[in-house]
Amino acid sequence: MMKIAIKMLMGDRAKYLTLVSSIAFVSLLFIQQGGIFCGLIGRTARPVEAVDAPIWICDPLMRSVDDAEPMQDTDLYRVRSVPGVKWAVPLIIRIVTARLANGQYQSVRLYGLDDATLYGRPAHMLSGDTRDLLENDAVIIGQAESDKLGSPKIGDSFEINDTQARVVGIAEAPRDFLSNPFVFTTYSRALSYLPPDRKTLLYILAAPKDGVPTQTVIANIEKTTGLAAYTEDGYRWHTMGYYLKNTGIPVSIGVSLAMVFVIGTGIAGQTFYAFALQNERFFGALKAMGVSGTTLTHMILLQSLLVGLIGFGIGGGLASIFGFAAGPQSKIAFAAPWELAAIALCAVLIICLLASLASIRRVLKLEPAVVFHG
Amino acid sequence: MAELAASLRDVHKNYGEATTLVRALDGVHLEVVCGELLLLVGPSGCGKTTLLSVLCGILDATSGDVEVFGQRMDRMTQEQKTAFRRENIGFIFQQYNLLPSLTAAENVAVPLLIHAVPWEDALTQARAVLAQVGLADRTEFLPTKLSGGQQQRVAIARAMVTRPRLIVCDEPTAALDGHTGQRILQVFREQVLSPERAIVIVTHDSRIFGFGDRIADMRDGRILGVHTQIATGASQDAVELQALHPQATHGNEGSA
Ligand SMILES: Nc1ncnc2c1ncn2[C@@H]1O[C@H](COP(=O)(O)OP(=O)(O)O)[C@@H](O)[C@H]1O
Ligand SMILES: [Mg+2]
Repeated sequence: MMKIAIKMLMGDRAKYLTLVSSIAFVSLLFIQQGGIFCGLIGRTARPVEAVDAPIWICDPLMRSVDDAEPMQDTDLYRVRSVPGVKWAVPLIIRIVTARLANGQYQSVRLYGLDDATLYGRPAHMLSGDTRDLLENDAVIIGQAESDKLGSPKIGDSFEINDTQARVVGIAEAPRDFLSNPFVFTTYSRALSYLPPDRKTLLYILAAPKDGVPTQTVIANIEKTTGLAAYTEDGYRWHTMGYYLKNTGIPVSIGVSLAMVFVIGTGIAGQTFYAFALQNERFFGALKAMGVSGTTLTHMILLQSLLVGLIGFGIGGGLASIFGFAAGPQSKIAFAAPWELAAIALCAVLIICLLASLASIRRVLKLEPAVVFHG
Repeated sequence: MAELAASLRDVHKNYGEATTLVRALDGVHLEVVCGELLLLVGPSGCGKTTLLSVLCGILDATSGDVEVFGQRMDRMTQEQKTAFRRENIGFIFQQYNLLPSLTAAENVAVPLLIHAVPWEDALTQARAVLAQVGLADRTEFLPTKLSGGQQQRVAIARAMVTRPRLIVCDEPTAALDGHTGQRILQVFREQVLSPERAIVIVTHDSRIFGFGDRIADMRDGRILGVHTQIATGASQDAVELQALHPQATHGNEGSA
């Protein structure tokens, strides 16, 4: 009988295509909107991911990686003496204003890397060498968003806080949420780019001694120094959590997702209902011929499930084409983790279920007049 | 005396209540015996469809006894009635109700599929029955590619493919022209009717009255009388009608 159900569905080409395309449309919008949401929120954590350190230590008041609550310079030594800490280095991540050669101002994300180790330096250089950072006035810029700095090449320079910054290398760098160009330099030079007379140590990066669990070291650090310590993943989520809680992104995307859901349910529901109405006398005939209510229910559910899965496949496919076209380096933030696909699939299946419930109800209490006269 | 296929005793069926109350069946007595083709005739709205629905358990009577092949339909659960219909009753509808996206053979196979007969076996059997009703060369056609008469033959084949002992039809010729309607009734008499099977046909098409062994005359929810006749297929005027009281209809002869 399930084969019959499928033939009934596919036989009505026009209705079938309408159904599938409405579900495909809903899936596409859902994944696309959700993908932009995940992409945007994911970008807030890019400045953390760019560093790749096992443990991040900062002032407990730091709300996100874009925040600036400095610690005491002596905190570095206190952390180094915490049991289980293998090494610890300072790091600055600050948003500062650069002045370009043409007089324009542009805010940039400045990284000040430990002079001795350059820990947190870019992993992939497109041109130049990270060791050149040790030269006078040297900075490395990230390729992404570098157009905002006038797409400088090696040897070009701009100013930060009236201090010269000369480009000695261009690195692969992610795009962050604020779309600021990344500028890497040494810790001591970063100090010269910041306003004087201020506590400036923003982060301490650390690693656990071999064999000591990261969580244990984090607990030790927090207990003995009173600072906040995170794993890299923990600090990513700390930052993303801040943006989730404190920006309009979740609400605005949530509203548009809810609209997609409601409109999708409306369109798919109506089409499915019309389909069921048209098939009512056939279902009625089947019922008269002795098909049980359970089997009829299964047939309708199968039909809607098929429509849902095929529509989701098409919509999801289109969304991933969009995602690939955008690409990870694009200005368009788009990320579709499997959780998003799973949520979209659930939403689609709920839409299909709701749409089929109405027609199941009708079919289950069919009038004999409908059965006999159609 | 032929075996009793179905009997209704003092069956009432009301629709709605109070001011909207409709007494669609108002004390119906009727017996159907195996081997006969019974025509149930009467004006529109007199309760024919309701009677047929109650007879095969699609609709519950308000009161009265409904017995089919010795089983009390009015005492069965919905599931039992569904199973009972599946096993014992074949259906033919006015609008044929063939599934538009299935071929003739697939449509005929549906009752077999309901009985969980494997797909290929069901199609083979379906083609054989289609040949029996004269559609051997149309088995792979979609219903839309068949004429009304051909579609109704497909429906007949579908109703008999599981060899049910009772076949009920509501206005099977309403959508057909006179000649085609008579051809369909011929198919009923020659291919569908058998000594162990009863056929009940609801109709108000007088052109086919000559095909029934008995004609039950219905008005306002009651059977006024049942006429026994020699079924010839000739038009009504040529047949000698004999009025009988509904309760005294056991001894009719069912000729084929
Ligand atoms: N579901 C229903 N609700 C209310 N009245 C109905 C319903 N079905 C049929 N009727 C009424 O019952 C009477 C008998 O209907 P029906 O059995 O369809 O007659 P027939 O088949 O002889 O034309 C009619 O008056 C019709 O209006
Ligand atoms: Mg009727």
